[in-house]
Amino acid sequence: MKKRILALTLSLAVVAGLLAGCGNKETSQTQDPDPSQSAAAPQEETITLRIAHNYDFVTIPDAVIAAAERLEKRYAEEGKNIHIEFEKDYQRIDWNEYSQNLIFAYKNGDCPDIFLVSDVPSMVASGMLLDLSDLDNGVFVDGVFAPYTVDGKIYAMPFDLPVRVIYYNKSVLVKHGWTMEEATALPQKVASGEFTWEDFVQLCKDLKADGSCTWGLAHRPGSGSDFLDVFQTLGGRYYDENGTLVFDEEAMLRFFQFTYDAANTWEITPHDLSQQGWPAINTMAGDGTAFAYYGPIYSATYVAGAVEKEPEQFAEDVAFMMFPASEYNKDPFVIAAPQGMGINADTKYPEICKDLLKELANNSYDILADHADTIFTLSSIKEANELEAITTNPIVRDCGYMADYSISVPSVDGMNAFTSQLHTEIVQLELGAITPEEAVADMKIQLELNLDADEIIFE
Amino acid sequence: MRRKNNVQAYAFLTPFLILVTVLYILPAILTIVMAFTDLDKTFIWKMAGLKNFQRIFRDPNTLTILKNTVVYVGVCISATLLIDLMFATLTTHFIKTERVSSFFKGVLMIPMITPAVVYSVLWIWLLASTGDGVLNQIFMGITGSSSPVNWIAKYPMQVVIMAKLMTSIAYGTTIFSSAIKSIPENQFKAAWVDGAKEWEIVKSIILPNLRFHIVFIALWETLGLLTDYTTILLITDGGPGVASEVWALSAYHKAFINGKYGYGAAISLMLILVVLVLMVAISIINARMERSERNGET
Repeated sequence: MKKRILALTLSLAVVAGLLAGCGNKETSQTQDPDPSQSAAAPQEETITLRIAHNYDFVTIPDAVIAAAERLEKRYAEEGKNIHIEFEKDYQRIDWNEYSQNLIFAYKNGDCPDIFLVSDVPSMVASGMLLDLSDLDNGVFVDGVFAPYTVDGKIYAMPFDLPVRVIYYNKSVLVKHGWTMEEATALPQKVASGEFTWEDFVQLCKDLKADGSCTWGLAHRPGSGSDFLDVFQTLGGRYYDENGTLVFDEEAMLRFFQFTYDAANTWEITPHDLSQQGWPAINTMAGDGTAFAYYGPIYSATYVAGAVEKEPEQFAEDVAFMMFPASEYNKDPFVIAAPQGMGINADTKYPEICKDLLKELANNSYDILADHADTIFTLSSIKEANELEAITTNPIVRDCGYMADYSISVPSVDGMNAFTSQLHTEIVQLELGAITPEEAVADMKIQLELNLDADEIIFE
Repeated sequence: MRRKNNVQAYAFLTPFLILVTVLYILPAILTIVMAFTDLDKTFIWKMAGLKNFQRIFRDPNTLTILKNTVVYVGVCISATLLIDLMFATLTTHFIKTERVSSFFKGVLMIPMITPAVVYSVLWIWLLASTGDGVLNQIFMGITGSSSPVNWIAKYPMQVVIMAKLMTSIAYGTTIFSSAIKSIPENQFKAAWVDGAKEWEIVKSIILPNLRFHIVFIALWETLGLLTDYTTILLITDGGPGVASEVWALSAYHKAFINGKYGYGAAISLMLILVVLVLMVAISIINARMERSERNGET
């Protein structure tokens, strides 16, 4: 009988324990002051903010944490005795998973107070982002809020201004017979429109043909927005003036034909590039095995790391240019893809969270300049771009002119499904498994199936 | 007295029934409801009727994914059962030294106990498309070819089947080995006395004694293969295109990559229905086998 009672008790304990574990974690964000000190004035209020981030560039949330110390001093001058503590939640997970986790946490009342935003349209639709339209836009680089603006309201603050560019290896050009001066001057020729996309593709073919490099052009191995820059160079548009996704069939066929030819006809891109993985591709882009590579400028941190070079050494070999003008796109351009932080719409401390972002934008932008310097990018704050940290950065110092050519893409709903399907087609095209026409047909039907009618316009 | 025992039994079972309800039945009901909604990343529930099911039938890839699933499950099950039986018979019936047979069984366990991520990375490394890949080094060394083969892109289905097969062998082998050990020794002795050859012993004694275990393993592995997509996700992610996409992985992609939870739930619901039909079918077959056995004995 005792055994039965014991077994029953244990069973109930197991259930109680598991159910307790399933419950929402109660987040106590305010630390009550010590009652023994309640007589002292002014009474210190300690608040704890939860801050979330994903992947490597932790200088973004760390900038917020650093700004908190300065904000506390500013508060003290105003007679407020507020101490801000942070609970960090830094992750390294897939971006889709990251945004879904945050939205799910918000729906369960367990969302961090400040977090790096991802998939802004879904976050806005879920109601989890606080309206930040009262930030002082004047201090920011023009157009930098576009990805975070929905229905005229701003929902996140951009912390940097990374642009997506074409990396190219100057040593490969020298091997091909160019002088180092000519190789270094290439970005200016692109900016002036003298050197076009067609010239670039021909150059990739020539470099491959005479053995100056093994491959002409490389790209990221997985799904992402980088491919859209080549698509745009070939005259494609993927969003309209309202920020609605567009399927431009004619330009898509042109892009797929280019993708197929690059891997199978001209063989300037390895046909198995997507199976090779990041380390191999970063090495290829860093050591000149591939003449050119396109992606965000901050990827230079990984590319330089893959070939074990310091930024100065890396900049001797590798330079950056914009996407050139082409037969289908008359102006050279770069896409600005800032990273930004948003505030939980239900945070207990909306004003303090906003003050933190305002502190960074208006007073402590040197911290943002340091962040930009660390990840090799321009800053989203105009004045920060004048600071030494950026003007002396060996990777970024020659790219400042690109800000004048940068295009900010608005927040586009359904973009993940679009880029994911685009990559599926690219992989098959490069392997020679399907034709460009088949890729267009498949992409179209998959987008029709995976997106709602109001999410995409077919042209 | 019996009634009192029943009360006690229910009392013991109640906590676990609550757990099963909370952790399995409620999510299953939610999945069914979700399949009829437009639920996406915003987690806003909007009823959508049969829209998600219409999407499944309109998708030209559905047939390919269905075919892949049948091939993946069919080949894996057939090969698993054959290899399980072979290893179990070899390590239990033919190798009588316990230490040696345990060693072989231990080796078979390695893929099963290796974490899926590590195991999949090993396969990717083994079959890497560059000249650095282990298989390519062997291939290029033997053939003298200077062009490495992109094994995973060229043979995606074969690769995922091989990878999955290796992790499935140990469980069935262990079950079959135990079953062979439980066969009364006098059956083997009688066969040897009658001059039966080893193949006849396998065919007439071992296999008949293992028939219920074979059905159990077939059922168990089928359920596992239909619902588990980890190895495929990590090695090919269903690609290139949908060349190695199976039904469960398709549900994952629709729900978690495209953010269409309603669509993903509809695909999952169809899988659940298939699994239920399969379970009922196997139960009927099992019952018939038992009945025919009883009739045969009487």
